[in-house]
Amino acid sequence: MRVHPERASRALTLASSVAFASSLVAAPIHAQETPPTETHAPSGPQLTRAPTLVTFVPAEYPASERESGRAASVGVHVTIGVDGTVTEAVVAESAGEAFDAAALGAVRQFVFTPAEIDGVPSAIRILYRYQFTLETEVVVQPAALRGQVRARRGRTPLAGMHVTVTLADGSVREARTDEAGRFAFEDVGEGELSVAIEGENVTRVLTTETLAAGESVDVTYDVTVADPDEEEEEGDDLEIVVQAPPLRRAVVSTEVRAEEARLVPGTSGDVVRVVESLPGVARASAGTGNLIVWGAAPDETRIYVDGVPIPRLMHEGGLRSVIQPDTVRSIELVPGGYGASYGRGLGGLVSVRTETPEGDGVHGALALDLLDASGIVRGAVNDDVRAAVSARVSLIDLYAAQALGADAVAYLPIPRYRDGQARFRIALGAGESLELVGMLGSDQFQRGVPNADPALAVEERRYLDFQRVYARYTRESGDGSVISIVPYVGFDQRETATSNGEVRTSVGGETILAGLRASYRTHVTDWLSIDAGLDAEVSATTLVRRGSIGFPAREGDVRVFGQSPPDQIAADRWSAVQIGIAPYVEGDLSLADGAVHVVPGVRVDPYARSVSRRIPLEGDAPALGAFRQDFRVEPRLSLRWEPMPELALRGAVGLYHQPPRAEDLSASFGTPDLPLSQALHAVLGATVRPTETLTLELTGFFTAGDDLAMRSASASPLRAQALVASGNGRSYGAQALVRQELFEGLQGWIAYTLSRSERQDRDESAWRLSDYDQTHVLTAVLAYRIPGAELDVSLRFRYATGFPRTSVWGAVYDAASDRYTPRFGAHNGSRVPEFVQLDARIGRRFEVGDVRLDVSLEVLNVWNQANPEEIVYAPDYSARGYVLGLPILPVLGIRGEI
Amino acid sequence: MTTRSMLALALLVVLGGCLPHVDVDESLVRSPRVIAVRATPAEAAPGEAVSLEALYVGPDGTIGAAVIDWARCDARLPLAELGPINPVCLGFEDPLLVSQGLGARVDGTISREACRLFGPDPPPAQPGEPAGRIVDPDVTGGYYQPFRVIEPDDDAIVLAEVRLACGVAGATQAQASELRQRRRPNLAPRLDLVFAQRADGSDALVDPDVPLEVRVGETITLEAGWPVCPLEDVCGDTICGPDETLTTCADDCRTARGCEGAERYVRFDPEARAIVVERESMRVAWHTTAGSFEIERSGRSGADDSTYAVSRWRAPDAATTAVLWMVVRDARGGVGWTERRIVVVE
Repeated sequence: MRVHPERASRALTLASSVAFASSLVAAPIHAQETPPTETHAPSGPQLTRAPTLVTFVPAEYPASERESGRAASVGVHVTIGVDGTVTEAVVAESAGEAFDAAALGAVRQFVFTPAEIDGVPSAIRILYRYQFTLETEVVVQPAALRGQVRARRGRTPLAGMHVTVTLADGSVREARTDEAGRFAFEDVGEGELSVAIEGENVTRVLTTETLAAGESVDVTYDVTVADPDEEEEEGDDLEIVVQAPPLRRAVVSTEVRAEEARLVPGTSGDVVRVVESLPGVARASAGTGNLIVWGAAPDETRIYVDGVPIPRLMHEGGLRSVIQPDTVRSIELVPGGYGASYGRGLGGLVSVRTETPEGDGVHGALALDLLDASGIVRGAVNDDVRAAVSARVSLIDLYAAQALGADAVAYLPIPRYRDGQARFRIALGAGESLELVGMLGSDQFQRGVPNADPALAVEERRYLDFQRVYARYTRESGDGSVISIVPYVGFDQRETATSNGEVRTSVGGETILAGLRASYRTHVTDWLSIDAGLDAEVSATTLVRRGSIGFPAREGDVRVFGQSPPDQIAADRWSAVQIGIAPYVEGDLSLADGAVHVVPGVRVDPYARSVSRRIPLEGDAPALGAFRQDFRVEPRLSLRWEPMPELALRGAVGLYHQPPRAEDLSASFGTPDLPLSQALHAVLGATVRPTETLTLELTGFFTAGDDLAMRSASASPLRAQALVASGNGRSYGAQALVRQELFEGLQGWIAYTLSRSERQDRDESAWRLSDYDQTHVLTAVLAYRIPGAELDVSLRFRYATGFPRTSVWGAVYDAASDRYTPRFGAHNGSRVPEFVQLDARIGRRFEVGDVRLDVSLEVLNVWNQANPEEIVYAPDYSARGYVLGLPILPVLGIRGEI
Repeated sequence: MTTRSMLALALLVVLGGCLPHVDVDESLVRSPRVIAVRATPAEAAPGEAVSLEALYVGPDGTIGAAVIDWARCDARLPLAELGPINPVCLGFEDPLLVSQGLGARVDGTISREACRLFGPDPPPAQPGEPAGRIVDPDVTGGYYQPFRVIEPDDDAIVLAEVRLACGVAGATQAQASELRQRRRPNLAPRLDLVFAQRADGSDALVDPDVPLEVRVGETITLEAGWPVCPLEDVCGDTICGPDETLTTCADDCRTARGCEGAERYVRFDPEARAIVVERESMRVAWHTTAGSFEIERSGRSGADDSTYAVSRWRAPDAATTAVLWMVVRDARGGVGWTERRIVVVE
């Protein structure tokens, strides 16, 4: 075996071009190395589709360098236009004139698929490293051209590759690689041969081989195989440096694309509901739709759509999300440790990114199942202007009365909901777009349990309507900087009311919301990117509340399900204006040739609050308002070290604050002067990517909160101090994620979270379990799309520890009310039994003329597990039982699109 | 199964899950226990003496001579406590538990600080601090002094309350003055009539002294009635209503008299910040030593003009004599009861 320098150089030119990633010096951001589960926190414009090389032209190994045979690497800044052609190529890292010229000559002929920023085809500049290195052994044997084609990653043989050889006389020979990836062309004659290799998911590559008379050459070609479904992240051979990279503010997050989420059983095609199955999320009690992340209370986790806060993610009952699925691009959950661009929440962050669907002409889709009907109409005026309108409306309430009878309907919690969106997007220019979005959600819920005893009749009513209107302006400059501006306004109306006999309690109100989220992201130097912005939010809330101070229940209340609230009543009407204008700045320092990223950030959050009433109204005395301002500086820091492309170590620490809820600022029911609550997040984790589509993550977390609003434990609290900021909280644990992204039709994940969430009502009291503690949460999702069959099957398995409950060991008869009062054991000293459930889904796609039909059958709780959801007691607490969750339930859904 | 049935079942499982059956028969008296406590007067001012009487019953009937332990509890209820009483009141000994004596009926007193501890008067201020939060009233505008009762046989604890005659919080001076003029102390309700209706449609007044006779397994409908109270004030009806005063109707109001049925009363509405006239709701708890009540609790809301509550009682399958108690409670904490006997024959 010997090495032929000239042939080797050519062969290796090809090999090195397609196999650079693992050998090259890492640049600040490796797009193809970014684990899909490790994406940045939601913020401004982001690279949503990396450019993919579709036409590769090999560089000629410089003749002047042949004698040296040395390896060389040329870094080329390649500017790719919106049409995918190379508009500019400049040497960034020289390897000598000869190598530089060869590399530039080849790169300028490359053709890419256009890059997309936030879904918009955009010009982009990348760093392409053209490497002339000797990595592969070439064995020259006489008489023929033989060889092997292998996948670059894993060096596995590729069968079925189409190899074409054009001989010196112009004749063409073709061959396909066998199971071992090998091919052979015998008796090809001397001279220069053109070799082309192509195949499924392999970019066509060309090279030449020169054979002497009677000489045989054995070559090895390593090519990159792209996953067609992952082309935006995996299908290129490029090391990409976006000049204004989105900063990795979150070191732990899980993002799921809409098409992936759609296959998860239990979502019924409602992609946003996939959040329930992500790591770090506790299983909410059936029918609540609560989002409990790392043991934080539901209202401590902020929910954003395109950076705009919304009051809830799920409709009443948790059956549907409030966002029409056809407009959802991705859902991201950041359980903690996120960057400086977000705040005002002690818990996690859920970010839903939406888009105006692409496509020519006018299209529509309609979906229908037992619960609701939804539809979308979308259209494009031209390449620059497109719009969409979608709506969803519940159907249950329309036929429930006929199906069940009016009396039964009065008992059952039948949700009535609707939501909708109207979207308009216009491309203002290259890399510049404006999107206008209006969205609304509405929920009504009512039930009543009549009783012959007027004191035992129960009625319950809730409604929540919200509307949001926002604009999203994005501009990507030629220098790679990105500007994003999202102004928004909103309006919420809500009421929660119950009647326990003659004790009627209610709280409701209206909120007018306005805000602005703006960011400017730029690449200052090769090693520093900066993201600076403003997160401003102003809310004016008017509230009316009457009834018991003990309702609605709060975290820490010692009570049991079904227990009547206290019958002492008060009333208050108040308003609160809260202003938060938070500038922030973050930098991404790329060190050690990009292997280390340090992202320090700071958020300066001045809060101002005005409450209409400082003390409860007394007679005709004029109301005296209260004003409070707080100034908080929130430092955030995240670190990321990638000692090798397959391994990333991460850590983050940050300080977070949350203003009190307007509902807690009543002079009668709360405390107008409540301070901000704060929390410290610390996250440490590692990510391993043994293959391009397989990710293993292990993350440890610790959060500590204080100044949490709790009910006053004093027997004689001061006026207007029903709540005190005496609570402390802490959550700690670890979560593990094994995720297989789409690979040959298979995708899924196993998420396991081990955590403990505790609260301390006052500094002097003992720590106890939080109401939201779930020790073990295991979710496994497996989906398989049968290639070519338009058929997909999927399974979801869930196991979760039950929520804590306070045990009851007896009861006291209250002769005044003729009711029993429970006597409690240790606060949250017991639990609802664990939850175990398997869901399955099968979906089939049909083409009927111009109509595409998606039919799916979901079977929830496949083995009909009797899952306790809540503990209920007999009126005298002498016996107890469980409210059971859903039995086995098949749900058929159909969706048609034209 | 019809389409409608299938749809209904699907809806039920989607929406309702499965509710367990954990109900118990609250009406059946299996062992001695207190089923009601009556205070006389039904509404008392701080420091005023009250007579407290427990209806202590057992499988054999009312237990008249019982060593019931009474204590007044002077512990305020913390806001964090969602039960009706401070947990210290559930103990056997505590400095805030003031003994009221032993027996089925005792004479007790209301705390002189009751309106500060449990009412609308600001509680005693802590040194260096302003006055604390007042107690919220119930839906009738009332405040209550709690009592702790210990049953003699099993030391089971029972709670009792006496409505307090206190002022009002949050009202203007004019409203407070008007309330003082129009407020009438609550009068405990009384069940004066019990009717029984058989399956054949015949009915009879059940006499307190003459047991009703029914067959084993027979189901009868029982109606317990209370006196009719006027729906509006009429001078000369002997009842001094909230819209009558000594000036407008001296005959009725010279001696303050109430009605032992669903009375009209005034309260300050903290939401509307106005004085409103309401009518008491009435509830009847049905108890028995044998057989079973189909409806264990029934009553009438304040908007319902009817003056009786209805239940159905099924006789046991063996001959016996059943004792039935009907306990009536009005919305303002007033309690009354009556007892009937039914002889069950083969």
